Amino acid sequence: MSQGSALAEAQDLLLELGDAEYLALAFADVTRALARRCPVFSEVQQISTYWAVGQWTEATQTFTDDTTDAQDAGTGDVPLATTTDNDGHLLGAYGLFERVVYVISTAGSGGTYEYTYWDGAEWRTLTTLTTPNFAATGTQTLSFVPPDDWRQGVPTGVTFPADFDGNLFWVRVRVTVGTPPITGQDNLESVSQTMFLTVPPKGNNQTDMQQGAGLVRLPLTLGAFTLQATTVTIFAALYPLPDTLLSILTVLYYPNELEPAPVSEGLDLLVPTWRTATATVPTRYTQDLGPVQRLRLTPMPTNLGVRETLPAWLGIPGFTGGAANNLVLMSLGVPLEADFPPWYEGLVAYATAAQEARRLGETQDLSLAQALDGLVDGLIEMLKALWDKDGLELTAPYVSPLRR
Amino acid sequence: MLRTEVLFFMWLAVLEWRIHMKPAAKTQLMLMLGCLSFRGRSSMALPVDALFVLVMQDLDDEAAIRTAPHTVFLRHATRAQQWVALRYRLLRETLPFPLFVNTPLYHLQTRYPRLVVVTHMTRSDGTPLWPVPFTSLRYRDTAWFSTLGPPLYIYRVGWSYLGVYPVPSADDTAVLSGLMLPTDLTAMDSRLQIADAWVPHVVAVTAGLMMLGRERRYAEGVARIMKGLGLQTAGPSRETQEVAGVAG
Repeated sequence: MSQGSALAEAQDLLLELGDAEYLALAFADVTRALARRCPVFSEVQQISTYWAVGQWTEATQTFTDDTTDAQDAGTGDVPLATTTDNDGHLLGAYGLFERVVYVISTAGSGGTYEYTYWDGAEWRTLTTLTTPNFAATGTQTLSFVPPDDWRQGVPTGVTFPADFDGNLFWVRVRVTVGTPPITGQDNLESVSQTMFLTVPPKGNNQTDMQQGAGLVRLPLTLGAFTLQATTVTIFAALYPLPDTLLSILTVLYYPNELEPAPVSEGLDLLVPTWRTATATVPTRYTQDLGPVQRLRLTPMPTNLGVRETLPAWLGIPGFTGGAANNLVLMSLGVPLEADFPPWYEGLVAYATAAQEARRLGETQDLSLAQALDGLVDGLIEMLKALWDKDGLELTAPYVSPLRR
Repeated sequence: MLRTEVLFFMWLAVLEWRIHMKPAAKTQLMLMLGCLSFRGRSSMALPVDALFVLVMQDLDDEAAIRTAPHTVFLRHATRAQQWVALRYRLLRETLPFPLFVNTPLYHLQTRYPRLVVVTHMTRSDGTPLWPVPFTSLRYRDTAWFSTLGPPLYIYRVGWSYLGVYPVPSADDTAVLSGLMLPTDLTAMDSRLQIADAWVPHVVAVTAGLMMLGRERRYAEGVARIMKGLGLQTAGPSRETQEVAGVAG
């Protein structure tokens, strides 16, 4: 069952006079409209809340997973940079995140930090709200607004460990240590390959500089750039919803069911700090509606979900249970073209033909359009009656178990 | 009796009855004749070529239908059989349904693509499972999606998924009953899957679809489809029109 056979049926109703391009365009609108009228197409997705932290080696474009150390209490066991320019660390998660908390054990000295995210094609500059002060020990926070074009994927050219699934949302933090800020030197001349700074003394004139007179060679104290963290925590609380989604039936943070909560008259009044609150497991979810629909958990969970091959929820033997701290999303949506059941394909064909028959042009035939619309109406009512018993959950009001 | 002979005699009969009989009566007689003839060859349901004759008769316009390619007729007949089977809940089947330990949800469309509605489910030890809306389970058990035990309830998540509560603590093979969608009719010697008693409905719906697509007799086509499916036509009722003062 496919778009092709549905459109062939529509063309037949139009005596092959339909505009193929217009029919193809109308097809998407018709499927969405019908799915809203007949909301039975369900999806169940299991989403891992796993996140990962590891070292980034620029020369070999390699990621070294260090997530275990980032989560345990071992002090100073998460290197975040090296003495080599553009090394650093990568932060990845199955969900979108907007806050990373470091507990720095050994501070870095100087250095220039570059924050980028992977947009599916290249690393792009990340606009940050707060950046961590890596020159100080203790808790430091990186926060930013997740970019709309942030994409989940395996960054091109990056080598991951053999058993590591790199299909995550990535942020890269690189550190340039070769050009530390040199205070008091206004005319930085060059940085040599041997890691010495060659600088003119203050007040030197142009002639002296050209002749090399009075230049001072200062060794770089790269050893001070041993940036280490005790823990790094990524708070991944945002999960993109599929484009085909119509409505969410329920969300579980396995094994707990979450309560849906509106923002303006719910969370803002109930928990004013809901955007930044953290807990081991979330209790509520809300939906961000924008260019990209997102599911937001609150409080932001700190427990790590189980990383597994996704999706693990379809087919025989069916949904493979739940993994602790992973998300289970049950929703209604618009069926994908390849998944059209036979009865739905008929509705799509009739409604698409009606759309074309209604359009100005050589196929305009209002009587046919009205007849097909009437037919679709009747059939949808018939189908709804068919699912009366099965579909109770589609209209049942939701009441939180927390309010029983 | 060979099929060609049957068709020949039926065709003669059609020519004869066209003049003297009402269409509905002719359809019934044709159906009876067709069923009897083809029953002699096999105990299976009516073949599509016999349905073709019946629809042709019902349309009362052989020229129009004969100009339609067989693929068109097969598609409309397929749709008609599907709608009639769904409307009158005709194809009820009982099927084995494996339940797996720790697995609360099952994608029905993967296992039984033609299954549209689940009516009953019974565990292998004979215990029936009650169908409930899944939103009700949270009132019984906040951990309804993870509680293990012998399943007692079934629920649907939309059209595609079937869930059981409690989540099976052991593998089992349950028995599931439900309504099936008829398979597509792909050739003129394919056979309908629904019982002969419902063939007049398939004839009416097929003829209605042919009228919409080929004969451009829209109102009549929709009326036939609706009648065949036992549905009211869309639009304001006569009572509504009377209230609005537009009914005669």
